Amino acid sequence: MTGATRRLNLIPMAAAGKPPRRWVRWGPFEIASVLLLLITAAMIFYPLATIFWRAFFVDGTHSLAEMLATVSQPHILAVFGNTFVVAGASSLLALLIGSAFAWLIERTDARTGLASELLPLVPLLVPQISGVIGWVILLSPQAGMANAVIRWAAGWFGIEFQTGPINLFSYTGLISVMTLYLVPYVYLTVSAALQNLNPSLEEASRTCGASPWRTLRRVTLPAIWPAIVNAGIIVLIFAISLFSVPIVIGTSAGIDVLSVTIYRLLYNHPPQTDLAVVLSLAMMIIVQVALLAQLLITRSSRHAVIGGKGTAPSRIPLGRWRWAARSAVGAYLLATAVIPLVALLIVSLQPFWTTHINWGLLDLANYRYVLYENEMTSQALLNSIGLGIVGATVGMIAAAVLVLFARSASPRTQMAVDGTTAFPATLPHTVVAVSMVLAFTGGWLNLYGTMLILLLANLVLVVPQAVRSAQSAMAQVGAELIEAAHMARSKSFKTFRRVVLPLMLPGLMAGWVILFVHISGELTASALLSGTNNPVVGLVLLDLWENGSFPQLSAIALIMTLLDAAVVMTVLYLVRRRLRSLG
Amino acid sequence: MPVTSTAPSDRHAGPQVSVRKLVKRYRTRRGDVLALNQVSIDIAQSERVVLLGPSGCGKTTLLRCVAGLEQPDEGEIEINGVTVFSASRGIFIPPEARDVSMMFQSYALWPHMTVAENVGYPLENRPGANRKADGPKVDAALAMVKCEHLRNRYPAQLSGGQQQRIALARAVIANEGLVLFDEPLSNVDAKVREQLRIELVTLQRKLGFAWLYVTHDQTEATAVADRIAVFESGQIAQLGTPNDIYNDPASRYVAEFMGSSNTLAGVLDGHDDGLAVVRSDIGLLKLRSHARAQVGDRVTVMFRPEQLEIRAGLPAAGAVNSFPAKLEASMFLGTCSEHAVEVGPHRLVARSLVTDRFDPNETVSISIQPEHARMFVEAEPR
Repeated sequence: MTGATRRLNLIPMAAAGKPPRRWVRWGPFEIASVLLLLITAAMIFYPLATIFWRAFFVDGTHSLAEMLATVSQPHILAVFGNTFVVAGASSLLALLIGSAFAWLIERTDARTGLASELLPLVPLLVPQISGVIGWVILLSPQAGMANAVIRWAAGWFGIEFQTGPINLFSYTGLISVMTLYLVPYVYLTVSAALQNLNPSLEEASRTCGASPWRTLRRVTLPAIWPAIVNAGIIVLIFAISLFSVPIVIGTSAGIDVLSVTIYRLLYNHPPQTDLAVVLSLAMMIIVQVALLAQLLITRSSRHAVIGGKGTAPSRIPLGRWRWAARSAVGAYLLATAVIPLVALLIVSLQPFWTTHINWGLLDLANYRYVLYENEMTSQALLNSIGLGIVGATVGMIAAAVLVLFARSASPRTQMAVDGTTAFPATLPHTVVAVSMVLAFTGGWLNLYGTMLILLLANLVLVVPQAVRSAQSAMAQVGAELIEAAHMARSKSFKTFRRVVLPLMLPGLMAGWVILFVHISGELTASALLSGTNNPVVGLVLLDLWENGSFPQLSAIALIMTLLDAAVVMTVLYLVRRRLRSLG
Repeated sequence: MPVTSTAPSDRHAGPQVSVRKLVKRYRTRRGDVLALNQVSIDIAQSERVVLLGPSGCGKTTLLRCVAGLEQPDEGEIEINGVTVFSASRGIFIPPEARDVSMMFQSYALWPHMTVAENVGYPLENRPGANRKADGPKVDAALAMVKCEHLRNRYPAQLSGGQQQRIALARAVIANEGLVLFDEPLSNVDAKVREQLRIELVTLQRKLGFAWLYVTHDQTEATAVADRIAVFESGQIAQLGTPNDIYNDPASRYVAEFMGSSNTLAGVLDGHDDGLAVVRSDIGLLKLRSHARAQVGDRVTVMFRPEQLEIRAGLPAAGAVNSFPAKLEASMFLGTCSEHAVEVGPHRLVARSLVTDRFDPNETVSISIQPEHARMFVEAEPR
C-alpha cells in the first residue's frame, strides 16, 4: 500500500485545461514559482505604494484639496493640456494610418511580403530616440539638412527663405514624429484582428452584392471594432507615456508634456519631488481611466464574430490605386527606418553638424571617440548591452517559470499570475521610474546609482511583454503532445526537458530579443535612475543632446540601432529556421 | 501492493481492464455535470472494445480516466490486475506508471523529433532502456506500419496518413497489454480511413493487445469491435457485439444511433399467434412481441431501410404488413438504391438492389417481415 499512497502525489502535469482539483503537488518547482510570484509582486507594488505613501501621508501636508490646488496652477494645467492635445492627436492619426495599412496589407493586392514583415518590426529595429534625432538633423529650422536642400531648390525659383521652411519644433512636428512611431502598434493589433477574422464573412458580403468599400464599412470594420478600440487606447496610453520624442522635440519647441515635466522636476536643482509625485499619481489615474473606458466600450459590444481561420482571403484589386497604396507604405518605412538613419550617418561622420557637407572631412573620428576615447560613452554602451543581456535572460526565465506554473495551478492562482504580470503594462514608464526612485533611494534600501536599480526598473517594465511571449511560446505546445509523452511513460521532468522546452524555445528566444531591445535602449527610467557611476545609453544620449554634441550623439544612436538590428535579425533567422523545421 | 509497471509477459488471469462504478463530475457554473455516471465495464485480454456515442456522452472521459489523464471522483479502475485508481482507497497512479499506451486524435507527434525518435521514445522510458538495443525494435515497429523509409523525417514532412501510421507505431511499440485509441481515424479521408481500419485490426490480431477505442462513427465501430459500448449521457446504454447492437438494440436511442431507421408511432393492440399487433395510422402491424410492452401501451415501431421490401404494384390481398405506397424519389447510391415512399402521412425509406427501378409517383407496395421490426415502449408522459 505504501507504494500507492506515495504515488498519490504524482499528479500528471498533463491535465492542462482541466487541472485536477485534489492532491495538488507541492514540489520544489511549485515553491520556487510561488516565491518568484511574490518577489515579482513586491517589485511592482512596493514602489507604487511608496508613491501613494509619499503623496498622502508623508509630511501630512497633502490633502486631496491641496493636491488639486497644486495641480491646477496655470503652468501645470498647461502641461496637462499639451499632453492631451499631443497624445490625442498623434494617437488618432496613428490609428487612422495604422488601420489603413493593416487593411491594405491584409486584404488588398497592395500587399508586399516585405512591408508586412517590416512594419511590425520597426519599433524593434529603430530605437525611437535614433529616429527622432535623425529627424531633428533633417528638419530643424536653421541647420536641418532637408530644410537646407529645400531652401536651395526654392532659390532656383526665386523664393528665398532665411530659415525653415519646415519647422520641426512645433505642435505639427511633435505630433507627426510621434505618429510615425505609434503606427506599428496600431498595425500589429488591427492586422492580427484581420488575420483572425474569417474571410468568408467578407466573401459572403461580396456575394450578396456589396462593393469592397461597402463590405469594409458594413462587415469588416464592425467585426474588428473592438480591436480598433483596443489599438486606440493602447497607443493613447503609449503616447501619454512617451518620453523620447517630447524631450527632444517638445523641449526645443517649448511644448512641455507630463512625462518630460516630471523628469525635469526631479532632475533639475533643486528637485521638486512632491510635485513630481503628485503628477505621477495624476498620470497613473489618467491611464487607468483610459483602460476602464476601453473595458466598458469593448464589453458592451457584441462583436464576437471572429472565428477560426478559413481559407486565405481573396485580395481586393486596387487597380491604379495599388501603386499609390504601396508608395504610402513604402514612404512610411523610409520615413521611420531609412531617412533618419541616413541623416544620422552623415552627421556622425562629420566633425560637427552643418548643412554644408564637406565630403573630404568624413571620417570615423566620432565612433573612435564614443567607443574608445570617452570612458563615459563606452562604459554606457557596455552597461546597456550587459543590462539588456542580463535583464532579457532573467526576465524570460522568470516568465517561463511563472507561465508553466500557472498552467497547472488553480484558476485563482492563474488569475494572480496573470493580473500581477500584466499590471505594469498599464503604468507609464515615468511612473515606474519615479516609484523606483522613491522606494530605493535613501531609507533602509538605498540602491540609487547602482546597476541593480536599473535592472529592477527594467524588469518591472518588461514583465508584461515577457509573460506574453512565454504564453505564446507555451501555446506552441499542445496539451496532447504532453499527454502523449506521459502515455509513453515519460516522467514530469523528462517530459519538460524533452518535449515542453524544445517546443517553447523558439518563442522564448523571440521574447528574449524583444526584451533585449527594450532594456538596452530604455530611455525614460534610465534618465531618472542612471548616474555617472552607472551610465547607460539612454542617459548618455540625453546628456549629449542637452550639450549639443550632435556628431557623437548620432554615432551612439547609430551604433545602438545597428546592434539592435543585428540581434533582432540573427535571432529571427534562427527562430524562423527552427520553426520551419517544425512545420 | 501496486507495482510501478507490469511487463506484458506477466499477464494475470482476469480481465485486462476492469472499471467499477466510475463517476466523474465536471463543475460548471450551472452546477455539476455527470460525465460518467456509475460506469462499469470489463475488457478481456486481447479484446477489442469500442466506446460509441455522440460528442459529450462521456466516452472520451472514460478513456482518459483509464489512461490516467483525468481523475475520476468515485469508483475503481484495475489494469492487468493492478488497481490504478480507487477513490475509496485513495489510489491514483499517474499515466506514466500505468500499463497502457495511447493513440491520440491529433496524432500528437512531437514536431521537434524525427519519426524514429518519436517511435523510440516509449522504449527510452522503460526501466533499463538501452538506445542501441532499441534501434532494431524501432525499425521493426516502423516496418509493421510500412514506414521504414520515413525513419529520419520530421512529422511536418509527412502526409496525414503517414502521421497516423507513425502514431500507431508509437502506440504499439512497447507492446503493452492495453492500447487506447481516441478517435484515431477522424482526421483522415474516407479512403485512407478504410485502409487504416483494416491495418489496425490486423496489427491487433498479430500483437494481441486489448484495445479501448473511442469513436462517434457507428460504421467504424461495427467494423473494428468485438464488443461495442453505446454511451448515453454518461452511462452505457447497451454493451454487446456489433451484430447484437445493430439487430437487437435495447432502446430507441441505440437503434437510432446505430444507423438509419424508419419509425412509426402506434399502440399495442394485442397478440396474435405469438406476434404482437400494433395499431398505427397506416394500418395494423405484426411484429415480434416485447416482454415489457403491455396491451394499450404507446409504442414506437422501428425497422431498417434494408429490411423494408418494395415491389411494383399494389400489395396482394391478405399479405402481412404490406401497404400500398406512392414512390416520391429514388436515389442511386452505388451499391444500392434508396427509395423514399409516401405511406399515409409518413415518409419511409427503403433500400434495395440497384436493379429495382421505379418511376416517381408510381404506386408500389411495401412490406416488412415481422421478425425484422422492433418496438420500443414510449415513456409515459407524466
